[in-house]
Amino acid sequence: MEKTEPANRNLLILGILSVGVAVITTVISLILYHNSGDIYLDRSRPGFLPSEDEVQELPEKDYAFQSSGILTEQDLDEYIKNFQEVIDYIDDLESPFSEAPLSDNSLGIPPEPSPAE
Amino acid sequence: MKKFFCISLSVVFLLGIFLPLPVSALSPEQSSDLVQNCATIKQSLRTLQRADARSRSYLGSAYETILSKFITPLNLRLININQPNANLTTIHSNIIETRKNFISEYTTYSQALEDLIASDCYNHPEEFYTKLQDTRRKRANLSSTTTTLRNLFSEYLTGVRKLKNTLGADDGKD
Repeated sequence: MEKTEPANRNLLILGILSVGVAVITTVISLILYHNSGDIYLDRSRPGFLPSEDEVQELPEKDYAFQSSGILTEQDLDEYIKNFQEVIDYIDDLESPFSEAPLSDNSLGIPPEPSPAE
Repeated sequence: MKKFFCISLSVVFLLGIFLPLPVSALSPEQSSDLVQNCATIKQSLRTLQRADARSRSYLGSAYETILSKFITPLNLRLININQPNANLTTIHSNIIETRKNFISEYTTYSQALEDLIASDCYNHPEEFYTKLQDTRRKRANLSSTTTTLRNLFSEYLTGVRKLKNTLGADDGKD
């Protein structure tokens, strides 16, 4: 009976320590996740999941230029065609990071009155 | 004593001229409207945050595809056949450098936008607006970097077209 009490106490200490270590490592992981900027790339966060209608696949996913072999005009023709498709895909994206969405007008802040007024 | 008083007065006067007090970025009318539209503005910023994450994801995968499936293999192939192209190699290095800037600028911008969304526009509209201006600057930098990358891709493709013409001319000679 005398041996049971220290055993219970040790078990309790082990449990508390385990929870403490888990909390500390989780906090460190979250700090690294945030400070490294990975959080801003993570689209599995709530509210950031891609909806079905917004899926815009990259063209010619299977195409990859080979880094070995002789180089012919036909190789470069195919290369230019596929490269141009990826560039067109970039151009088709709706003006990423344009100024408009953060302008006073878009946010509903009235323009600064001119000094003449 | 009189001399000391005159000098002190002059110093205060000059400081008043050359160190103007911080001017408010918002007019009272703008400040009032900002407070009124605070909830709507925050909602717009959250929507923008999601749209930006989508753009970053699409652009990031397109840049990665261009580098890993097009530019790096072609430059390697040119080296393998002992025909390294200095122009294409230089553009390749510029693309890698600009892409690094894109990645870091997106993180900096996202942190600024997150900070802006978290700030209190009801009680501190001035502070909110200052943060908004800072976020705009960072967004403008990011936008400029995406344009630079886009131009570098075009430049690279022009270089490849020239290379193709050279190959055609060499074939004609043979």
